[in-house]
Amino acid sequence: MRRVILLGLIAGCAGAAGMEQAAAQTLYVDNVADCAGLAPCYPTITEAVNASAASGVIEVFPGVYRETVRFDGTRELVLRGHDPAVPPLIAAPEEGGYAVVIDASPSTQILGFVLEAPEAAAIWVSIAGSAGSVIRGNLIKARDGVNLRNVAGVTIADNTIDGGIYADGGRSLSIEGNRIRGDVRIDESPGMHVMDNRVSGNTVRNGSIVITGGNPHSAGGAINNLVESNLVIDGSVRLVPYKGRDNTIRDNRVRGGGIEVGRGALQTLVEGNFVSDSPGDGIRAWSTGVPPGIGNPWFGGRNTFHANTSVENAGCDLNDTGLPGTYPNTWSENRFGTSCGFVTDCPSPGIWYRDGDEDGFGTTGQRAACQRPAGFADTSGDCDDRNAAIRPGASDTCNGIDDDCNGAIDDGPSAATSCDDGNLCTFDACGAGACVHAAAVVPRATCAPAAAIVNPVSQGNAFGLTIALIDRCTGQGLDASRLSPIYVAAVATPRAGRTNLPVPDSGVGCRQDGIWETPAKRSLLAPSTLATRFQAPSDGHCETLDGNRQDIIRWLGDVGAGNQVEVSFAASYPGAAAAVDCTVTLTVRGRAR
Amino acid sequence: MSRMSSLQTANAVQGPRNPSSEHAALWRHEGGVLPPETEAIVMKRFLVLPFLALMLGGSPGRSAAAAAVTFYVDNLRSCAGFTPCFTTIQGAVDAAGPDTAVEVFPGVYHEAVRIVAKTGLELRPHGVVGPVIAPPAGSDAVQIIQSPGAYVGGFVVDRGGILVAGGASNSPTIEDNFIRSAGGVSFLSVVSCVARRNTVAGGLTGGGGRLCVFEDNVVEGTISFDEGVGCGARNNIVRGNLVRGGDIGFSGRCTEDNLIEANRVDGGGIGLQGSIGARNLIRSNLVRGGVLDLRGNVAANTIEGNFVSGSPTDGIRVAKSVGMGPNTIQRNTAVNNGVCDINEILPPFTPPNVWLENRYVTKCGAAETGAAGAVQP
Repeated sequence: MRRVILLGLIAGCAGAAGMEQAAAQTLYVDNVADCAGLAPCYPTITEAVNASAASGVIEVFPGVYRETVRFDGTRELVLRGHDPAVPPLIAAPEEGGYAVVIDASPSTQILGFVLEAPEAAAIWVSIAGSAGSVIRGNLIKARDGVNLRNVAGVTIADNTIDGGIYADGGRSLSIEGNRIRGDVRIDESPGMHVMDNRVSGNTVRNGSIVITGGNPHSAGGAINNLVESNLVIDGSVRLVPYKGRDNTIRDNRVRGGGIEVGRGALQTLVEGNFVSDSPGDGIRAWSTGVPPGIGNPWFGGRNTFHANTSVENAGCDLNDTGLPGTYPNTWSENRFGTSCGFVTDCPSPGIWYRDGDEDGFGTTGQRAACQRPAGFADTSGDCDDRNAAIRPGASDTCNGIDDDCNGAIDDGPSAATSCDDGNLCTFDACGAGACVHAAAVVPRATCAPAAAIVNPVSQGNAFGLTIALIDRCTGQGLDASRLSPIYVAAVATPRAGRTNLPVPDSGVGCRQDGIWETPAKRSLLAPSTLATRFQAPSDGHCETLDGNRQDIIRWLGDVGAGNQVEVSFAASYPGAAAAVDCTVTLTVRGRAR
Repeated sequence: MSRMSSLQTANAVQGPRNPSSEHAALWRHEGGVLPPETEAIVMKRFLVLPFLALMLGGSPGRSAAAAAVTFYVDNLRSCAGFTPCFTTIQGAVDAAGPDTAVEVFPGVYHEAVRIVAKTGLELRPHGVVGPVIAPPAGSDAVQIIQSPGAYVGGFVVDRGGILVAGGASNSPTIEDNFIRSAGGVSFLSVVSCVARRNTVAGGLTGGGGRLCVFEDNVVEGTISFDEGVGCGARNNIVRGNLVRGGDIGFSGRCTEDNLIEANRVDGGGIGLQGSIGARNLIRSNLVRGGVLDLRGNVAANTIEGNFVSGSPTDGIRVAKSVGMGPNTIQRNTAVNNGVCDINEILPPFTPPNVWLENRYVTKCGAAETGAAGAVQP
């Protein structure tokens, strides 16, 4: 089944193609032989043209055809070589003659010929009725190259042209990919403005690309033309209409000439071009406009010169004559050595970063400019250029977002403080991008020396503290045995003349009662304010805090009466936000033995 | 009162090169005389096999944008913030490691760039507008020495030319440049070189290159291959070029298996002068104002479908040496030439060439003798 459908499709396509081929008549021309048996065969191209139907193809065998081939009337013909790889040659027959004339003949195509006209233009195309004509892939050697008059919608592409291209009135012309010796020039003619033309990708040598247009009394001018990506060697790009607006000159390379925007050029964009080695200025703006009182008043200016490179020119690399009566131009981010007139660009621009949210920090989209352009910042590093609250240095609040662009979410101290609800009895924290407020215990300790105080205190004996705990939020008593010591410190002040002080004991912690029992917990004793003067309880003197009694210090030396010992204690309590601490001062009453 | 730290969540912030292969083995075929009836075989040899070779081994040379690392050069500003930024092309080239692209900002660079012992180095414009290299007088703009896989594309070369020396500098690509003065582009005994879409004043020299492709260039001067330091120019393709004011010429020993196709030569001719020149195909070229000339120890070559006119002397001329086997000259058009449209100079004891279905007005010598299907108005 598939096979049947496929075959049917193929047959249908082949049939359609065959019908199309049959509809477009092909005539053959051969002035050397008999068209290799193909018919109808004519000895001249002109005879084939005259014999053709309203549309068709004329294939020319290799040969030298000395004639002027004229296309006129309403025929739509394609003229091409029989072997696309080997172009036939049409040579203008007499002095001053053309090789090809296209006169109000739409959609004529001249493809792949050598055209020679040493005393005139090789191709002459006239009248807007020739729209849709295509001149492609030819080698054109002529004094005047290709001439167009009052034509629209003509494509001249991929030709090699000696003698240039001249359009006296042109609209929607496409001049692309040609190699040209001589000028490419488009002027305004009576009745046809210079509009919507595209000159791109050409190599122009010993000539310039020139667009004029408009006159003091015309309503139109040179409008919306594009000159792009051309290489111009020993010539210039000149946009000098009496009136003109919204034209673009972009990404051209000009070596040995300049770019000139003058007369009544308004709102031209000159961007990304590279100009060097001009005998005059590199890029020059000299808008004048049409003075009031002569036709319609028209003022040039408001042109934008952006991101061009202009160096090593004999005149100024950039020059803006800024004539009175014209609108000021804009110069930005151009690369150049010298400037003159009213050029406002600078030679050493800074690097600016696009700052979409205007928070003072930009992203990676950077631009060089003399002054900070609107919407740009001098510092990069913004990780969200749509939110001004997110930027380097911002407060990283608890919201699941990297507010300070340091690569971590909710990592700053402000993430926690932003969750503080002011309630002492809640435990406030930031978790998974949101604040968590858990019920908190706020223990308050009351501590005092153990009952016997330190009378007498002897070497090797111990004394302790009495600690009472209550929850400040509920007023309820708390189980002091749940305290986990953080540190214990003792600072002794000897009585005058005495030197016996409490000193650290290297003994192990209390193994029996579970408070000091591990070296890890003992290590918590380290942050003592006087680390060398603390002592962990030793075996035999460690009591639980049940009964609010804990022996924590013992004397190792001969501690005389009158010595004072300040004992500090800090511990954590489960669920409490802060440590429990207390400090007592003991006085030795008796003499240690 | 709360001052416990938050639960922190770590936030993780976080071209192909086408080196040519040695497709000579595929391209090359056995030597010997090529009878006219083996036209189909000729076509296969010259068109199918190179095509297969290119498909299998990749086209010679390389394309841009294949580099792993990019250096920048700007002699006006600071590379628009791109780094590393050099003020001279040579500085960037010297600092480059393997497979480095050197992107040059618009500007005029007065230096003679030497690329020495760099693998896969690309020299190209930054952006769409190519810079100018203007070396001191008497110097080449770019020299490539012992640097395989080099690429130079998109420059305007003012004064001097581009020179690629052989040896290790295989598979270079010179593309889309405009050589403004007479420096030209020269390859000296290079394998798999590519010159494509350049506009070249001063000629394009292939030396004793092999497996090179010269394609779609505009050349003022000549395109030439010669014997070089090896056996000669073999397996090269010269196609689609416009040559003005000069010839396409092959000469020297071992000028074999080259394809010269679809070129337009204006003001010059096409010449094959081998001391041993065989199995070359000269096809579908336009020659205006010059001679399509085959001479010397040439045999088994095919001249086919060319159009020659306006020569001040002969159009198509074959003058081979004594004892050389036949060449095939078929389906060419030669008219409006100064002396003879086709001319064969045949020494004694030498088998005639094969002339088939040529289109011409005048003939001289032994050309077209007894050829079937010949057209003679």
